Amino acid sequence: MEQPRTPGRAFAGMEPLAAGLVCAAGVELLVLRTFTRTAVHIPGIEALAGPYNVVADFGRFAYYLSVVLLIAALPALAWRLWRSGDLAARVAGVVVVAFIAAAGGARWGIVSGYWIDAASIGAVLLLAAVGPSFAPWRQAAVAGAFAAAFALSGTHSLAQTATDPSLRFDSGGLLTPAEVAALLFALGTPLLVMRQPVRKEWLIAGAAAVLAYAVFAGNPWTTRILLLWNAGLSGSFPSVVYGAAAGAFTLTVVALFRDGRRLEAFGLLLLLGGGIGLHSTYQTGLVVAGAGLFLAGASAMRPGRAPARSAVIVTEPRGRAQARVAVATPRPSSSPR
Amino acid sequence: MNALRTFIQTRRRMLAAGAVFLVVAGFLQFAGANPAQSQTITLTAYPSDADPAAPDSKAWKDALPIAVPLTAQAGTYAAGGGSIPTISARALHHKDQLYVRLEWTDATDDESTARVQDFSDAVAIEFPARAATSVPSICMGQADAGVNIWQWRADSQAGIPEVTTIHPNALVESYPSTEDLFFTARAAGNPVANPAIGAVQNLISRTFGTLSPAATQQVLGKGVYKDGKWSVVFSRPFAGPDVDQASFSSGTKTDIAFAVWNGSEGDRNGRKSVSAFVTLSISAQKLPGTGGGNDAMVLTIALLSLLGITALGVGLAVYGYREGRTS
Repeated sequence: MEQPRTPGRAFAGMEPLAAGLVCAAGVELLVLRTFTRTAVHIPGIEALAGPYNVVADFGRFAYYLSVVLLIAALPALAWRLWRSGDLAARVAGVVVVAFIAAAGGARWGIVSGYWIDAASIGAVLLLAAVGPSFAPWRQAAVAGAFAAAFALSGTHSLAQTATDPSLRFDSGGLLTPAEVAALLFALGTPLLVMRQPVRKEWLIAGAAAVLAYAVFAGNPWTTRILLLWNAGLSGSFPSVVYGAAAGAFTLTVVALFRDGRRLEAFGLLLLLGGGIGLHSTYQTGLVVAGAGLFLAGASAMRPGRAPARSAVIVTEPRGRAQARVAVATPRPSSSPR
Repeated sequence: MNALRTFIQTRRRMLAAGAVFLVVAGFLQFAGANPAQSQTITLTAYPSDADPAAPDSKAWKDALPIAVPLTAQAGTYAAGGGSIPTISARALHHKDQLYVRLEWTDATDDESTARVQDFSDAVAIEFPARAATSVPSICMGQADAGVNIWQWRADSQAGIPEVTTIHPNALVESYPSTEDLFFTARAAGNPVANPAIGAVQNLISRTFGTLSPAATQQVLGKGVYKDGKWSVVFSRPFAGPDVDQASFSSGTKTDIAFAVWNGSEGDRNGRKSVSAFVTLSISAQKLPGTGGGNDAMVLTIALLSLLGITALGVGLAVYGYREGRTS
């Protein structure tokens, strides 16, 4: 059996699983983490207890489905990272396996809370650390900004989990830099779009930015606590910053999908679903899978590591018979639609 | 023809895999078996040899605090609050009794509500009720998952002040009736108006509008205001008197959330600073102390791995860059 030698080709088979995981995690985020936490504020909701419970159960099912898909996706990702033949990708694969082992150990009580917290922060930082050799600088920078936000926020928790008092410190000051790094991550994602966005993409991104700004400005209390619960962000900066971040992120995801760079788009969406900081091994797993898929998808964009080059022979019947041979590098998956 | 056959086989494989994922997810939900592990901040209650009932007890010296961020109250209307950014929490257990010590910075000591424009400083802890089948909504619980709330109020602890201390020039001619009937709030069963209940109210709730006093009031609390900080200790026996109240035991975990009312900022009712749920672990083991655990080793391994792989990543990047320039 032929070993795939190019990262882009090695990860093509991940797309259906990644798509399923993104859909399930998205439904879980919207229904379980957002709707059920917000709906309880509706006056008289107890009169609608029946429909509410049905929706809540559906959200819980989406959560369990997302967990199952994550359990399938992480080993598949690690295996494909290993098989890609790239040394840095192999290191990333080992990091993913180490996270799976630590999360499993924590669930069964073999690994302490401090171990899994340290392993989670380490896994995300390590994936970002191999990024520069694995993906182009733009993707490595975006992944690095997210990893910094995750690590700063996670260290805040880690500092309070240590049973050794000498390892404890006042970590509250880490949360603001974490918020800044998370916003830089979102605002920096348009770096990934290596072309001029088209009008439709600007419109969608603008709508997302206006909607996010309106929600933040309209009911900052509920929005900010939902942001804290769901994504680990305190929402302490002006609403316009979060509106701009939402617009930039949406622009990037839409453009990546239109360019056929689906793995990168799925990776970004999983990072959004996981959020920054330590919540649960499920959310950290989404971040690890997201970072892995994002860098795996990005690896195909690195000059000299593109998917298998194809030789295109163009013959042009002119006055004197001649053939022009061109080596074309196709876009990672498909051309822009 | 072969391409069509391959396409159909691929679709069949994907459908089969999808069906397996759905069935496994349904089974996990039915069984309530969550494969994920919580990673929220954990407040660990270690066993204590000394009685930690007083906020300034020496027993609290070695208890490890956690700093929990607070935000304004969420709601369909602008409840406000949020003037207290963080609360420090410690926990211990002693003779099958849970003790939680909360400390926060507050520039003003607000313990009188005798004037209509005054509001009291207060703090509350929320736990899932013993009967809760899932983590309840932090906002007063939900129908299938109630909450148990312990609220300490500075004004309840201070008691009702003499009118003349609030209004020195007031003249009270006479108020001879001392029966409860003449104290209308107390007669109506308002626990805040009943000094016999003490500084802490033990409350239960299953959603908005259902907050009510628990059948038994056995939660104790004592607060001290010193150097611009409130320190309050709550305590209650492990065993919950009924399924609507929280229950604890050594070696188990539950959820815990906090709320603080800043009286000088007009905080009352829903206007307060609230946290998200964090984990409360009732440890059966004694606190390991400095160098007693393996946390330092974990941190060292993590840092060495990080440095090593970062060096590898940078090295490979430089190598790849040079290769790219020479080819």
